[in-house]
Amino acid sequence: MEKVVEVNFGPQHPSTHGVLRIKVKLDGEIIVDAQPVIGYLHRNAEKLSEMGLYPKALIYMDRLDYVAALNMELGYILSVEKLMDVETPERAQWIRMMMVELNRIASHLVWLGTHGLDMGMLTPFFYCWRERERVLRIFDEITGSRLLYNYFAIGGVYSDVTPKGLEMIKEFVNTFPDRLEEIQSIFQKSYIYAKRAKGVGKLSLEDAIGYGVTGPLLRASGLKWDLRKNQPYLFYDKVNFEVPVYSNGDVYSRFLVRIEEMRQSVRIVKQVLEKLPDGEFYNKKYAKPMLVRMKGNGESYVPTESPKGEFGVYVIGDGSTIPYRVRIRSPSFANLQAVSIMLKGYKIADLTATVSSIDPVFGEVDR
Amino acid sequence: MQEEKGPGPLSGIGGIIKGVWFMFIQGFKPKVTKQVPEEKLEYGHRTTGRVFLNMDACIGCTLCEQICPNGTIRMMTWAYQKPQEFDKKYPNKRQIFPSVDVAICTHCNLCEEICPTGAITLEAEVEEWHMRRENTRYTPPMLGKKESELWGDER
Amino acid sequence: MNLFFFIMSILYGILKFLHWPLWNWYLYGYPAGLWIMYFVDAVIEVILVFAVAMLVVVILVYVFRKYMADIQNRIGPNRLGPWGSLQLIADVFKLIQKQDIIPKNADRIAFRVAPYIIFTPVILGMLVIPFGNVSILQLMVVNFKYTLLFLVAAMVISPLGEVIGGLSSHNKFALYGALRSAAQDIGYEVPMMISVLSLIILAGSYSINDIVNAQKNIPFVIPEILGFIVFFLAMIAKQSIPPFDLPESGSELVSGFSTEYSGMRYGIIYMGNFGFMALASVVVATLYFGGPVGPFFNSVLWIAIKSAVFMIIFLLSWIALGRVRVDQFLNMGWKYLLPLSILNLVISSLIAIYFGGAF
Repeated sequence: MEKVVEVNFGPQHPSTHGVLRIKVKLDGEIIVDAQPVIGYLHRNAEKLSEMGLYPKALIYMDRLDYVAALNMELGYILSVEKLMDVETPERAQWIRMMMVELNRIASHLVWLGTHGLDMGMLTPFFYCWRERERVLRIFDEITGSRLLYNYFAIGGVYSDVTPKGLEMIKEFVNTFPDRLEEIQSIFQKSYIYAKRAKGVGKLSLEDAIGYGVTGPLLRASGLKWDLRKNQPYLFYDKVNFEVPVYSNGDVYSRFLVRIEEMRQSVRIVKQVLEKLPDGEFYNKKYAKPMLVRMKGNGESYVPTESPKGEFGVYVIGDGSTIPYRVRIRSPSFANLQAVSIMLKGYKIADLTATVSSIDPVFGEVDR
Repeated sequence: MQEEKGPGPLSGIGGIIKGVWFMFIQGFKPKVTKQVPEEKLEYGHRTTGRVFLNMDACIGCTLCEQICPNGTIRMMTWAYQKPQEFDKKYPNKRQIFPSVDVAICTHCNLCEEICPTGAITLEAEVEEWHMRRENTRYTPPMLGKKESELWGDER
Repeated sequence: MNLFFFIMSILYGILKFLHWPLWNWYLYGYPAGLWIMYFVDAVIEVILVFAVAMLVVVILVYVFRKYMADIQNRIGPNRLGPWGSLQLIADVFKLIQKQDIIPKNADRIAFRVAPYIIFTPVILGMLVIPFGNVSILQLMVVNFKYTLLFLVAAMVISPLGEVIGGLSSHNKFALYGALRSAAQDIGYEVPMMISVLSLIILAGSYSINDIVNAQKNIPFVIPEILGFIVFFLAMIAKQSIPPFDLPESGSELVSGFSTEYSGMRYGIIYMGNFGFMALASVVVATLYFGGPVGPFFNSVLWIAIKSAVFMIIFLLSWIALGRVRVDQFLNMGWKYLLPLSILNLVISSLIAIYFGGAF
């Protein structure tokens, strides 16, 4: 008699972070086989981007990883600027760096809260949301939106940082590390969390590299690979920060990596606040009517370090105002492939822990 | 490469109690949520709520229609006589103005960025929701008015 | 609900039958009308206890929501009534209005009965708790020799309802919830029974009334600290609230055994959980902290204060803690709680032998 039960986790499951469906074969409580099924949030972002002008495609990039939208914009904007040889003012670059790091904090806070929920903790979620709300208020002040910004322009940013915005950022940066310490101690010092997370969802370094896993997962598996350090874009080579690396490759290491990354992001934002130069925030050559006349020729790809891993947009231009091909390399998609080897042999309860430790966002996986 | 240290059983159980105690203390801290109808939220200087159009400044260049990502803006012919000084400064010979379907607008701000005369703007008109909205495609004169002027104060 | 009252009155009738000398009445030829009166009385008393239990549940749910909101820096329900106190009544009306969905392939009778089985121990348990005296009136519905055994037997019923509900739903998640409930039940019940046994040894009686009276000088938590820890953890597990909410486990199995329940049936399960929380805090306060007996004065106020403290502790545990894995819970139950409770049994036997007069 067949002992294996096949259960569909998702797409309508409370803890699959959107619309992930995992076909799980269970022997009692133990997972024998797990296959992720994706495609429930497919919105044709690549082809839609190839239908419009270069600046229009930016709003589809926002909707990829909607909790870290500025990181997605950055990947596309850097690629297009390389394609068109656009000169960007220095101040714009620094502002971009600051906003991207703030958005990384917001994204990791979303991860931390939902990770707590998946572990059965109700309350840390609200503390994380409380802190994220402050970041979103800053974005509302500076960019005009809370979630989908459309803020980075080809040749700069659409609006300058206001003095009030700078004040808000300063206040946030000064108070956030203590609050993070509090939230972290709820998780890290608790025996329940440590028992649940340690040795769960293990991913060896060979498997991680073989599956193309990037970002915090790779660093938790023991490889010091951060594109901000290894292939610096923007001005990441002019600021000091460290790349946290842990060797165990389990849920607990990923937790520690992400927490430490938030600290380092705060460090970067502090340095940007000191070094922020005066000047133009937008290259006026590309302003106003030029938005509909920008032409690109050739091909370009700039890899960037998004909160989930390596993100880049491969753009081919054929000399017209419309991109010929836009190919998105999204980190969660690659990271999610490894889920079946991470889950084999563990319990059902570890499924939610492992999936949430990957931090998939399905706008980006399904595109 | 850092080694990770988890809590042992004793310190871990102490950690559980500490965590519970921390949350118990949080119960006495002030609330952070706001009751929106009573307490108004503050909006930033760029908060995007709805598209507004200053018909006097519009020159009918159709740039906003070209840049709009999802066909929210469509140009329509509208017989409108501008005041004399505006007609000289911002001539609109074809008499075409943008009309906006506010229901599908994604507030991407591109029309405001591209408008050469600053006629089209997005403003923080976000608290005005109405049950009695008969039409979501706003004609150019409707775009110049606030929601309460259009549909009244009844909600 | 009619079925529920019917079952409850029969159970209660049996209970009264046990402690009143009705056999003699029957033998001496009392008329049948007395029997009818007797069951009418039973129904009235059950409805009274039910009303009190519901009141406690309503208050507890309101406190839970507000307190959870406090801890999470939110405001909580505040629209209906003063400080949102009528929100729960609105929710109950909403649940009643909802369509009662029973899955096509479910075992219909078992599916319908299970929520009432979950609610049963709340009322049966409340019947035998001594709430102290108000002047000459003793606030205890039933009193006979073996009330502690009856209480424990009543509290064991609710996991049965979870198992029945989960198995009858014809849903894989519910099935897993039911299996977990069964495994968890075995995991904590044996240590709990042994720690209750050591209470019986210390007090020298099966009656809760005697146990309360034995704690006049020293509450049992001092000689029985290990037993208290075991019993307390078992109570948390029995309510299936975090960290031991394995049968429901909202984020893994969608909602565990109650996945397919909707409308008022879900409402009854929900109220049963809160009712059991009230019962558990009262039981812990009675068995280990002396119930209505306390310093300065003996009254119903003491048991209210003690059980309120335990309710807050249970709520904090619900709000603050994460969930353990099912194998970790079983490990804890069999490897740590069982030896602890046996050690506690030995200690309390020694105390009973050498300092028996103290209690």
